[in-house]
Amino acid sequence: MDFSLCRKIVENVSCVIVGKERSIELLLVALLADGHVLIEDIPGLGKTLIAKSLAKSIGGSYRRVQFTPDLLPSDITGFNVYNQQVGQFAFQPGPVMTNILLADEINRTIPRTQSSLLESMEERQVTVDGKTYPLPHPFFVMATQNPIELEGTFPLPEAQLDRFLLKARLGYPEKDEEIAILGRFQEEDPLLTLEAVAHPQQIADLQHQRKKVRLSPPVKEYITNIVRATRNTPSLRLGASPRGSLGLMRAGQALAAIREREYVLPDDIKFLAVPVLAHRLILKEEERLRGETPEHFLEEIIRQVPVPAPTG
Amino acid sequence: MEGQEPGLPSLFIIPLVQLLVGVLLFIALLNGQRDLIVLTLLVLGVFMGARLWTQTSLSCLTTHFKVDKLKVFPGEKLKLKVTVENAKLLPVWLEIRIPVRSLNQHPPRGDLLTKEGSLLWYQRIAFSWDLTAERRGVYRIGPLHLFTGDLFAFFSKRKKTEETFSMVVYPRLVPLKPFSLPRRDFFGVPRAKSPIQDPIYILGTRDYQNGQPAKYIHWKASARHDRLQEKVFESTHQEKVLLVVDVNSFLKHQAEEEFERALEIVASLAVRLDQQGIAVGLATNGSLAGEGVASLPVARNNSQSPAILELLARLQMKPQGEILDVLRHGLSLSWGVSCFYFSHHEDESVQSAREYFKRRRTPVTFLVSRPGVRPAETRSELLHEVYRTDDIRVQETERT
Repeated sequence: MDFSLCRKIVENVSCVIVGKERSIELLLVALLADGHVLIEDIPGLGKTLIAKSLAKSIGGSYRRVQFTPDLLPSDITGFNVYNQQVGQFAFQPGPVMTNILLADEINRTIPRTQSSLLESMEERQVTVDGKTYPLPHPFFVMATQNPIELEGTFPLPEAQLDRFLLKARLGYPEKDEEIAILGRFQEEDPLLTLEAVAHPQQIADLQHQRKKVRLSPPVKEYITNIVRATRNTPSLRLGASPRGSLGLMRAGQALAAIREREYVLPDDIKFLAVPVLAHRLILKEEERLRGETPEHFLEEIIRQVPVPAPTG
Repeated sequence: MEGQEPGLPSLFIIPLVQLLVGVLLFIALLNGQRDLIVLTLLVLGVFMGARLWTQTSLSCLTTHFKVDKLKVFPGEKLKLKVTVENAKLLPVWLEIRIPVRSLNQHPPRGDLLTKEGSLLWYQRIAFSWDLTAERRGVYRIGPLHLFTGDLFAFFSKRKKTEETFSMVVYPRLVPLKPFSLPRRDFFGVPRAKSPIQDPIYILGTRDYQNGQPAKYIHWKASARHDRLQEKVFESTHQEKVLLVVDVNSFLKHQAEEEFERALEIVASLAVRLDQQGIAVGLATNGSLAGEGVASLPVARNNSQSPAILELLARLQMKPQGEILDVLRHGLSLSWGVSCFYFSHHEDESVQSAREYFKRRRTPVTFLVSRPGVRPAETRSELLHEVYRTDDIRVQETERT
């Protein structure tokens, strides 16, 4: 198994994005695990830039949709237009027919439109007027939402949040990084000169190879223990589902691949537990009012669940 | 911070006793009384040893101070834990004192949590206190005062850590009766969540998208454009509520209990409105324990309810000006906001507020602890209802 391409992609994206190696790794984890990512952060932190850089690096097609309240499902999936010349309906593909889709401010659109996208994410196909169209492979959605203001938004329900493999935050850059950003973008946009280091078929192959990354029984048990602990935490109203366990396993395999290993370590699971599981947990109302976050309880769980000892 | 604790009732720190032992030694030396010399030297030796012991007692002693919850509701329990580790060969005696002060009261009042114990070489001990939050407010826990000394507790040395915690006790959340929001429109504001299902406000038209119901086709626009046009609906109205608390009226009547009860209702109302997806804000003319402004603009986000609860926890029955000044200058009352106005009495300040809201055409519901007699002409004012705070609160008897 040769995963050296993953490192090349990370390095290539890092030519544009300064100091966000962890976030780039997480995006690549979601891509290799054949999942999707939800980025919750304030505007201006480089969400679009990171998506564009990744799309360019893997040589795939990229589309961006700004979600607004008047956006309709057909604006995402596509629609049939009557062609008067041939006297037939012709399918006009929507922006979902791409390798990388940036769904900007996904919570600003109505639930109906959100559902149409989330169904496409799950099924990897769209159905318009009874006809099914497969989505390109790889298909990777990066959805963003602003955590600050909920006015005029339609928050994603828990069942739909569960469809995202992981939720990431970019966060503000450090001072040195911000200075480096100024330097890098002073004369020209590095995105314009960014070259592809892979092509979509190679990504599809990597996704296939990722499945072969080994997971020892103690690591599987460790994943299960963490997920089960979320169900027994009194401060949480709802813990993670088996989809969460599967997500953590796939993400663990993908991270191991990115770090050029053929086996998953408990440290990979520790690193990924918060981004993969936090958005699947629901706090009790009194904890929410206390200003607590699922991340806090998850970090506590990770501290408490015993890490499997090395074997052999 | 380190220092010698002066007030311990140890026999040996009294200079007189030291002097007495010294005199006894002198007499014993003069008279050649060997037993007494040995005894006094022994006592002085213990004395010196204990002092040296105390001098080194604070070295290699680390403390870790932790509170499991910093934001609690009344009646909730919290655990305060202090871990002390003695990383040296010398065993020590120690006493821990932690002041807990309420910042909402003037002068600040509080308790002192104390525990005593001893630590052997390379030993770690955890001291814990189970506390119950009883009353709304902000409490400062700490700094931690650590007194250490020899195992006989003859001498002691003090160390004060800089670490303090602010514990916020939110107002109690009480069950509320069903109520309706003050409305501007005769039929109320439509509350449908989806703009597609809201046929009232049409924002414009656009090319017809296949799959949309035929009822959304704008036939006139389609005829004008010579191609099918569909209606685009405006986003539904977001209800906004501002909770206003006139602290001055409670102070005027020295109604501390009623103030607390009113804040419980304000807190419960804020949480309920937030749960219903309504944007909510708070305006008060009270001062806060600690720093900050006692008002919060109307907004809807995940941190709004916790922020309002914290503000109410910090609120003191100590006004800073008139509430109408806060509304006029401190907080912009945007169009579309409804108000709940909390006051103690239905007095002239309520009348002024009523006039103010009437001028701004802001629908408002007044909630007063003690209603007064209203002039007949104001009773028919549908926009400005006045209720007792107890009318909205589910009483204990009703709950049972």
